[in-house]
Amino acid sequence: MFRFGEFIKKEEEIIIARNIFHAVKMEENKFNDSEELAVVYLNSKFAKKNGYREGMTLKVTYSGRSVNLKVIISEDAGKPTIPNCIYSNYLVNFQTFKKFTGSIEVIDSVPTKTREIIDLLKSYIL
Amino acid sequence: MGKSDENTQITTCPGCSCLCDDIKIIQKNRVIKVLNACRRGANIFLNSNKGRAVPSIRENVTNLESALEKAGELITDSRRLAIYGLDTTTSEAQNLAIDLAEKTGAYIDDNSSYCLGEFVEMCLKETLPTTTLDDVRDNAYVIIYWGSNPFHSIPRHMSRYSYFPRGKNRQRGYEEDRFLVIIDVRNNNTSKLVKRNGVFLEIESDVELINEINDFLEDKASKHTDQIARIVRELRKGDAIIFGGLGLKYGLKDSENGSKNYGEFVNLVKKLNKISNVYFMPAGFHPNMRGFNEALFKRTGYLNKYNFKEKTSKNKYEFSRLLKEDKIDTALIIGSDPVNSLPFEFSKKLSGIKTIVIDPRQNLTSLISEVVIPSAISGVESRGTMVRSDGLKFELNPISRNTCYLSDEYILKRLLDVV
Repeated sequence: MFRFGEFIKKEEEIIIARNIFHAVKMEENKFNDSEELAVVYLNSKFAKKNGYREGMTLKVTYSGRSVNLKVIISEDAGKPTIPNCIYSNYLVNFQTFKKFTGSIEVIDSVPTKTREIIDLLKSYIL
Repeated sequence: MGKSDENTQITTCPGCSCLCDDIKIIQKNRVIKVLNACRRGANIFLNSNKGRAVPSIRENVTNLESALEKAGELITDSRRLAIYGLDTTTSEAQNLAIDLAEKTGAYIDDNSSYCLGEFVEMCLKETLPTTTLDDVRDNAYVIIYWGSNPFHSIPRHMSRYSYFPRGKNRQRGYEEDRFLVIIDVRNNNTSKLVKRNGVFLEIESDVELINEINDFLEDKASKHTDQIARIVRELRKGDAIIFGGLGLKYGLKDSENGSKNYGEFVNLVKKLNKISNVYFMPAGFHPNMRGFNEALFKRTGYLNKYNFKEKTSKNKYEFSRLLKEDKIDTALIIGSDPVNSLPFEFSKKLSGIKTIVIDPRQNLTSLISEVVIPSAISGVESRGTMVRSDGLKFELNPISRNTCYLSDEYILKRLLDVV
């Protein structure tokens, strides 16, 4: 059952931080289209308040660019946190390298894949 | 095969700037067990044969000689070359890369220009009082992690050097002989360790906190007065160390115009030193970032973003800015994956120039590069030295010497010969 909150686009402060478990997973799976790599960590209180559930896909947008991230509930995430990797770096610049205020909305789609960003990069090859 | 076929070796982990030298590797034809290492360190040894790079030119697999030849051609033909990365390789290879940059009049830079380079510089130039990790273990009472979450970035830092171990003059360990301070913009795994003998300061702005501590020292009240008062009280009981992380670095940067407030931080540390012995150290980074900073500093007087043509270092020579401003036509990237670690606007620019990648593993940058040269994993398959985050040198003790991969050192020597 959908909750009303799921349909609202929200502005949230999002932290970008290193996550050792994600870094190891990224190292092992970066070329195999895994859906476990594009993730956002939310604590259960924040998720409940906003109607987000584990496994949902959230579209995070900042300065005109978006990535779809899979929700992982983690009590270690004081604030919504994206691990430092190609997905976070797709959104930010050096002024917002560690945190930014972006919009979040629930989306009926799969998480972004590494290949999609790489294909975009390849389009710039001369 | 029985247990007698097992071979045990103690080695140094090249996973991060902790350079833990107590890693126990048990091999039986291959690595079967890694003891004492963190998740990242264990992965380096256990999966050393997975995801290895293969020699290629424009994504077509070739032989090593052809890849080396093509790389030599690209470097020779380049008018504006930048050499970048280098923080996961040995000091010997770093020195050869600096030689190559000098010989070709290239730019040279490493991750420290957007990582903790400024903090390393403050330690090298003695702008801030610093110490060694062994001294921290033996003497420090107040342990401050500011803008750093060692649980994820340098997992054994707290257990080997700072909070948990019993030191020469801190025999009662963390239960009674340490006071932990975590300063961050969010709750994290490390802040959860703060119990009765610690303080977690959840802040909005690092600069605001500096002002609040200054206010407190001048007997003015502020938002965090109680917590600051407690920290100052504990500072009077013993030596303190501040480990500054990326959160602090970017927190001190003004998000509007990018200007930095390092001076205010330095002044704060000076003021705190009137209360107690307060030392500073960058929290942690790539395994040999400090090695590169020290090597370039010794040769040029600068730590990074150096232009050998102009013989000086400037912010505009930072690798990311060179890309953004279209200042380079070729990049030689050694042991780094900028597509994974730099903002997209820079990766986009990297796609538009000729890129040579030297790396043990296939990484995201190799997918957009002209030439890929596979190399041995420094510290696992090739020997050399690295420098820990506090400046101590460590000899690497590879576990596999019969590798078919060439060391970064050998590859760079070959490139130096042809350009």
